[in-house]
Amino acid sequence: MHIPDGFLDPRTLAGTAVMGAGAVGYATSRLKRELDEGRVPVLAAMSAFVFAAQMVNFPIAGGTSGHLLGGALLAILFGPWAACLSLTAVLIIQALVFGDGGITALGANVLNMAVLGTLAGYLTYRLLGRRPTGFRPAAAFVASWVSVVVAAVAAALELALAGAIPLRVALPAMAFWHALIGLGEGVITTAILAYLARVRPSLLSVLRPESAELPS
Amino acid sequence: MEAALTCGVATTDATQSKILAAGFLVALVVLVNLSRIPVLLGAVVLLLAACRWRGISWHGLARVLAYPLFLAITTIAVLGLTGSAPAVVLLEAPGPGLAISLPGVERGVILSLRMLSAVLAVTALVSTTGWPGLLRALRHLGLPPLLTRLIAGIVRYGDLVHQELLRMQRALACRGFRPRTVLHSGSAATLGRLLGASLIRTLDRGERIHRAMLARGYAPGTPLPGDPPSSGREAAAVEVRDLWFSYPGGPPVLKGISFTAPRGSRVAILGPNGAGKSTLLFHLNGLLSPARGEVHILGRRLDRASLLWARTQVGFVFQDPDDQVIAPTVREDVAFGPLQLGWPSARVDEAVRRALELLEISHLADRPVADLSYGQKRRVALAGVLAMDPAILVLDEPTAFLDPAAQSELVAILETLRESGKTIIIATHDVDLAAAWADRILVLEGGEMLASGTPGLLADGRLVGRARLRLPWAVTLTPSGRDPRDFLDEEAKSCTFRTDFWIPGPWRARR
Repeated sequence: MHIPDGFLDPRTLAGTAVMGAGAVGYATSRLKRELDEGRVPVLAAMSAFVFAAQMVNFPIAGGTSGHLLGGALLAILFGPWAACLSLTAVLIIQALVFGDGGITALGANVLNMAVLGTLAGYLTYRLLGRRPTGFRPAAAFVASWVSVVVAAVAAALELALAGAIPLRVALPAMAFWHALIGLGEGVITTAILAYLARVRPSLLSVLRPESAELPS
Repeated sequence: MEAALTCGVATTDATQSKILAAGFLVALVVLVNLSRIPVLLGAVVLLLAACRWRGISWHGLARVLAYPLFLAITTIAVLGLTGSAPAVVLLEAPGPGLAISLPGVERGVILSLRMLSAVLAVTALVSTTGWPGLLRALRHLGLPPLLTRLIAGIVRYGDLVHQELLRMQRALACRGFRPRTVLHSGSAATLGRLLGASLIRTLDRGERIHRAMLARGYAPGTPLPGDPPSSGREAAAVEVRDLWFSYPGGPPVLKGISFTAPRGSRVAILGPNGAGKSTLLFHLNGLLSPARGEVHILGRRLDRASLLWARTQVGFVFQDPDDQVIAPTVREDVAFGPLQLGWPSARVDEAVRRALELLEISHLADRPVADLSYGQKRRVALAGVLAMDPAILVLDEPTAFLDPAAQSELVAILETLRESGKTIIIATHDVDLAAAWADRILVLEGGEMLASGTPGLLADGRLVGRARLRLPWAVTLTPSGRDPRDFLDEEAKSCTFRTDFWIPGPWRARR
């Protein structure tokens, strides 16, 4: 889903960069206000976890394999703004080290995965059910699936808008594959949350996903 | 981390990296908007040459380019098959047939070449600036400090967490786990446990990192400690009176501990796992505050007002250097503590240089911490504390996981430090080290002080058994007719150390 360099035209690049930077700037100012200074090392360590977890591949179905993307997981555990910033940091490293996603396309990738994906996942989790906290397996599954598909559809739209790949090709292809990858994301995210709910329930109950706070 | 990132960067360096980074971005934007195939091909060849010139092996290039090449082929195929006419018909068949569109292929090739050249350009850049330079450039480009701290966190800990995950995966495989599709509930639950366990470990590590930062005087928004208050010269380095402590909701971990460490003494705290050794150490620089009792540092009571001052006087070296060494490079990490003290940059540089020299790691100064061996990280952790020039040094399990030679080297370093007048307190399981090195022994068990005194008390078999220790080997060398206690006491005092080889005194005496 990472858009590489060279696929987007200057107009799309500039548009997505402005929107991505704006969202990250907003997330930073929210976290600055709401995040206790002492929680920053914890958030940095969590970013390292997502980075590492993305390298663990597992088979999904029909020969496809995938890995955890982590947007919905982070958003459910730590709120959307912490999740957004964490994933942005991961995307920057991936673009610089692994050539995974372009430098000029960073704005677009941040917008799709770190902003739209996490927000969609977070809102889905909030909307599915009255209790804002605690572990709700079905909601977690749907939220993770939605976060992946929303990010993929946004990427397809941008590729089409830039004139790189026509919409009639990009949209069905991206939507289909990521609907499948989203299943894996949903299953794994739910399994991780189930484990946390059993082993360290304080993580899910103390955390208040409605705010961007980290546990204390 | 943020503070550590800013250290050692002169303004000229900042401007330079700003110009370089901006220039690179502009060049990249131009590059990815080229649309003539020969020009793009030329760029790819030039950038390949640049990468080779920077010393990147063909193998390394293949690894970097594998995924982009796969993406390139897919793009050319997809655009070729879906593009508009004029087309070369490959296969006549009823229905749409199979035709390749030439404009589609051309478009695909252009996109692919742009992508490949950009990947090569970034690879060449990273190999030139290295990680630390890149992080600095990102900072100078105006990335929010919070974000750069997260990036620094990934650079420092991403690989560590990944290695941990791989080890956990291998351990699962050894017990017969073969991942099937995650849509299979058993597989999913196991993967969830694997990643969930890693998440919890990482969260806990985050907590420990924070504690280690606090121990080195990290306190943003708090005024810096002033000059040390005058304290009686005769006051003990550390005095603990009737210390009680329990973690929230738990039973007491420390039950009325009292001890005194005179200036310049070498104290070893021994005891089984869970005896409260680390908890006691955490009280010595205020990482935990006692439920009851008092801690006095150099004659001054440790309380809220003296907390930051105490942290400059008591250097704390954590058991796991990965919890303590946080900055991307060695130099930056060693500078972390001095920067928290608000020292002028010349003094910081001098302190860093001396600490690195003392620990013989000057050659590692600009290396990324993530590349170092365990023993080297231990030295960096110790250097980071010594750079703050504390009067008292507290080390938690300083020899654990070190190879025997590194253990001897560490003892030699501690000896040098003691000669310079520092008081050193260690917690350890190593009775031989305690007997040979320390001049005072404290034995803890179940949160209580079982015994305290000179190393001779380690010759007491019953005491040693109760504390789940064992007799030091030196006891077995006691000449007939001598009291093992006196023998331990005297040999402990006369014991000498060599950096290349450490032989406990009694053993040498026999040979």
